[in-house]
Amino acid sequence: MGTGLVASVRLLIVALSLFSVAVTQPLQGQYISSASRLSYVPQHTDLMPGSRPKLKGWLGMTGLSGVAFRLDNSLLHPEGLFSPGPNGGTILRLDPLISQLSGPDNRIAVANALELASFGFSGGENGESIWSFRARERFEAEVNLPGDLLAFPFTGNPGGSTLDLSPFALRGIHFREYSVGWNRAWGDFLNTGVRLNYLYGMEYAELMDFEASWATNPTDFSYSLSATGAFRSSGLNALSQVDDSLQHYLLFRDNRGLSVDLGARLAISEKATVGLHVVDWGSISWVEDLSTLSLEPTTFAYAGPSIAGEDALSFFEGDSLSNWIDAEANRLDSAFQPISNDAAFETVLPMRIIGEGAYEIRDTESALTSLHAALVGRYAARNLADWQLSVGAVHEWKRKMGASVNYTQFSTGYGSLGAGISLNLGMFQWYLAADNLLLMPWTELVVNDNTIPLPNRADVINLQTGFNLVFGRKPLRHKDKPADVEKTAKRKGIPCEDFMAGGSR
Amino acid sequence: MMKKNAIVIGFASFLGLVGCVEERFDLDPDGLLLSGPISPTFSIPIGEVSVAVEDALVWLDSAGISSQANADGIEIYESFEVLDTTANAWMQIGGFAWSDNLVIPVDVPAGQSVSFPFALDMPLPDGVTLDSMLVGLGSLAVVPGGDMPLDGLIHLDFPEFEQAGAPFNFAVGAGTEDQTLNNIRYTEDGTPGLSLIITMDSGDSGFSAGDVILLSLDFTIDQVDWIVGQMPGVSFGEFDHELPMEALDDLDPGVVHLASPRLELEAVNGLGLSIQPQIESATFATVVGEAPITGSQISDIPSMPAAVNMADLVPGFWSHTLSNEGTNPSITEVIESSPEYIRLSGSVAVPPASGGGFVVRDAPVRLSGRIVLPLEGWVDNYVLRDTVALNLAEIFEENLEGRASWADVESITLRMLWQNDLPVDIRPVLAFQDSSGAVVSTWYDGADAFALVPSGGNQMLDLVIHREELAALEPLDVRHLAWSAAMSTTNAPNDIVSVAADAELKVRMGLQIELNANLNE
Repeated sequence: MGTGLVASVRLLIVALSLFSVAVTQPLQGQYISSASRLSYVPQHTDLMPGSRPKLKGWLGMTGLSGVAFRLDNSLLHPEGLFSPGPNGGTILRLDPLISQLSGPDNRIAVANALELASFGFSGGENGESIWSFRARERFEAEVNLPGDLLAFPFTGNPGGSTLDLSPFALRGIHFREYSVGWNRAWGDFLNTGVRLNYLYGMEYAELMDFEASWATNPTDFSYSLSATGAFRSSGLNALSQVDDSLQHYLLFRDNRGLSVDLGARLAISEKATVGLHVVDWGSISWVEDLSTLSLEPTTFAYAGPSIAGEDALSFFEGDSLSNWIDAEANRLDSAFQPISNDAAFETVLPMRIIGEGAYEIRDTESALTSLHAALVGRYAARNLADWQLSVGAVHEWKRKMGASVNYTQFSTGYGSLGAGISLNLGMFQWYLAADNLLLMPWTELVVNDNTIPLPNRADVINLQTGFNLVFGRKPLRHKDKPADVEKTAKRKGIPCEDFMAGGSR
Repeated sequence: MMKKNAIVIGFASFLGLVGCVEERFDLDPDGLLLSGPISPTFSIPIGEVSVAVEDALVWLDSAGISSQANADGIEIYESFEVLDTTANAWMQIGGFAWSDNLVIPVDVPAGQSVSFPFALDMPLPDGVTLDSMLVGLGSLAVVPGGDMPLDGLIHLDFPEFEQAGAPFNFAVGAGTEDQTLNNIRYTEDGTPGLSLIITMDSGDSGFSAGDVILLSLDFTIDQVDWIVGQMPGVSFGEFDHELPMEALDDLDPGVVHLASPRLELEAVNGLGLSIQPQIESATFATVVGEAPITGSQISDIPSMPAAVNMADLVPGFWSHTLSNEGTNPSITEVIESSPEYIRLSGSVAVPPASGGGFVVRDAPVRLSGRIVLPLEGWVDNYVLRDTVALNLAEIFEENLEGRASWADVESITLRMLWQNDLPVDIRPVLAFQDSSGAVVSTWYDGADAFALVPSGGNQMLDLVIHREELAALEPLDVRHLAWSAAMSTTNAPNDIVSVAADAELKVRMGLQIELNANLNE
């Protein structure tokens, strides 16, 4: 394979990771509530490892079993921005534009996950254990733009103002997980799950501890630019290097890590369960193709040219002005001169802690209906970064079909109505879950003959889908127990899938 | 079954909403219009200009600057040259030619000789009595002639000449013989003129009484290195110098008053004689011709001291000042009349009653002067002004792409932070001019809008022009921004102030533009 082709393929992999439309669990606070309750779908345990799939076994269709995509956009929404203009043109309305851009949170984030392979099977004397294996590619990138900077054209920099540029954030990560999971029912009342993930890092980039501001002096309007921070990365240089073989890129990079997912679900009554789950508890050590650029706290003062003496009258003649501009540019470069190093570093995955509960409201021979709620907190740098609260309902036609609907409130202030569906057609299973797609009209923007569809107002778009081959259509039974014994007796000591999946006994 | 179908249909409809496209907009820049209110305020630091007085005066063409002696003040001067000569021109002592028939008075036997004494005149400049002289370079040609055979030598002795410490003599035979003269020193022996003794050897044939010999001398002096003697009344140069004064044209009386201007004369005298400069005429130009400047400082001018040490010359230095105290009209009055020039005419000569002295070759005689204007006095509404090209319409068209107009600018504030160390109050004014240079409006209309920057203080001035004033400017075709600074000393014209050399005027400027626009409505 030619070296240029290797680089192209490498970039293609990154691009596919970015734009592919599938995953079980985006990394950063991504939690598709409507998917987490589709208990016939094995990937629902990605979100709640303490939950139990209502299956004896499954085989994910390679590359298609779990595809997830999430787009966060708190920067700009088409809703209200545009209106038809005269003569076929378009009017961009400044009022809502300024309103949207002036907010403190102006984040564009994209996260993808692609399940490369997965399978699972039950084991144990009564099928109380489920073992699972999974390989998954994960990619996430986000940028947050300072509202003060975006609003600058509309607010300016009046004397005495300070533009806070510190909200500027930049982060990207691309890694692969190799996971082994063990899910076990402990009698009728407790189900636990643990999943050990071996992490293989491919690219990483992050702007750290960034603080910056642009202050305008109230008296003489002079500027003071301050900045500090660090940008560290791994694997970015090798992206375009042709001498890094594709084999090395895909399999033999030295950036390794471990993480663990843990969970437990407990029955607190005949119809109610509660659960606690921890996901992405681990880190990656980045040791290859490293670069860190650090900028110590630096202030650059600009007050315009200071002309003294004989130069005062001749400043705008000859080369004086251009020389001064060159000198100022050099002074700026010298002031903001980062220090570089290639030291290894470790990044902790943003860990999520999920508390959840479910309550069965209707259980018939053919269907099961329950209500559920979940609170998901995301921790970054050992601090609670954000949270989301979901409430919803799920209705399952036993093994045939499942449908869920829920409402999620995000800590950033917006809400989302989501839905999910799973269909089992024989051994073929297809599922789809989405947040914020329902009741959401789209706007198409035409730019240079290219059509860009955008949701009118969607702070988050979350989509998860996949195909599996599933096995085990009937609930597990103890092989020695007769089928017609009393309900309580026959369930005693036997894992109850419905219950452990958040449904009824 | 119906229930299941209803659920499936409902869910399908539910999903169908996902792809619902509500609107479609073309973002082609040519058809994209911005609409709505914006009200940003942009602040820009323009920079700082600081000028110390001594730096500012560097701009004056050809003028010099110096600190005042024994004071912190500063003064401007303009130098000029009145006379620049050397003694060489005057020391052109020419040679002389002499010719005579020498008649043998008696028979002179062979082997004898006969002598003829002569006293020759040596041409000197008028009035000069020579004591001694060194001829650096010259020549002597002797040509004997006549019919008498001459087979002996002719000896020429110059008793007043000596060369290398020995008497200078010269012998020629038949024919012409030239003698080059180097460093021949002449010492006057009490009798003016040059003594010459000619002695002729009779040779083998002897002389007979009545024989005649024609002898011609050509004495040439190419270079005199020095002379010592009496030179009363000798003039060493005349001058008639016109000192231009156009640079001071705008120093109008009543606006600028220079308290102590002066005209300084300086001389270098390389002569070993005290010489006397004389200003025969000092005048200044007026609208009706030249007017005289008189006074004791013009009529009573001290003589220049003589140089000393003829072997290693040390010139005498001399200066004389024409100030307000010794001139009529005073120098201040002359300057305030904005003359086109001041003229000085006169000469430099040895006083008639001068004693003896020496003059060496290349000895300089230079007389120069300078008009000196110490920055002392007062100013009353003295205005400095200049213009900067400013096409406001073009600025708006270029920077805002025609989407904004004058009406979109709420205000423009020019902030100036003044630090004024000068002993003058300053009132800065900004005005708008049209293409013809006519002022069509000030930055801020109003008689007292431009605040005063007091002497020795700091002042923040905001010059604000509002939307309404901009609207009034729009049809006026503004093409220039004219600035001016009116300066006045405190209590002018009663108090005299002095400007320190390091006094500084500093202004830091910033611009704040406040927009309040409703685009495309």
